[in-house]
Amino acid sequence: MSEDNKKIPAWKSDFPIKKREAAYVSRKEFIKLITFFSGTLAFANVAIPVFNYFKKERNLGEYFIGLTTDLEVGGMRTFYIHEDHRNPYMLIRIAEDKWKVFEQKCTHLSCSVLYNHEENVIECPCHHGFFNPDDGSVIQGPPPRPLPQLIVVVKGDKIYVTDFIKETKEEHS
Amino acid sequence: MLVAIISIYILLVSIQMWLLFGTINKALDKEYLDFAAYSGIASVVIFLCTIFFLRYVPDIPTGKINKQDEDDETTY
Repeated sequence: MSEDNKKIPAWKSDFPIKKREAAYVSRKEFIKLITFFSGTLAFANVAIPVFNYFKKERNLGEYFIGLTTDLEVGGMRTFYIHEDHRNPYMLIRIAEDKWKVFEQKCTHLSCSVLYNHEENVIECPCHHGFFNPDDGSVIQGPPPRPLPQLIVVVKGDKIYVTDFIKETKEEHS
Repeated sequence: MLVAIISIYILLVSIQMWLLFGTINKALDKEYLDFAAYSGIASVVIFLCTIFFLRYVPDIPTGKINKQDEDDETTY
């Protein structure tokens, strides 16, 4: 065994990988990594619309959610459709004969939103996002899109929800 | 030159992230499918550009720059 090899510990001589080779990342490798990331983004950007195009729309029919006598004016009640506890909905009574149903998840980071009758807003307490209780549109704060809204049908003293209201196109005056 | 190419890469990927952000926020339903379609096409075109630019990036072989480092005691 040569003098040089004696200086090197046994564990190092068993794995003769150069320090430079182990730690060095060339610029080309770095750019290849960015290209791979770019490909992932492009795939996601194509896959999301394609998935949405072929996704079957949910058809609720008429889903019974409660009686008109259950809620006072200015009140709010949380309910679930088909026992799906991942998607809570809120029934709010804005006036005597004005009912609204929205998804109770903020479109920012999915916190539970609350109806504030005094201020006439739907408020997200996490990051102070405010929605309009008439149509679910964003008034203020970080939420990027309106609250999904369901159609409310009142028959006698029974309240039903039927389907999602399609988002109206933004109007610029 | 290489710094300029890397800057262009980061710019292109930033545009792709912006497009994807727009798609997620606007086109989760079917109302804005036209926006989502154009966004997807733009993102694929940008990806093809990044692949095209790869040919202008020189490949420097690993570990062959400073020979004196390998003669050092702390090479391993």
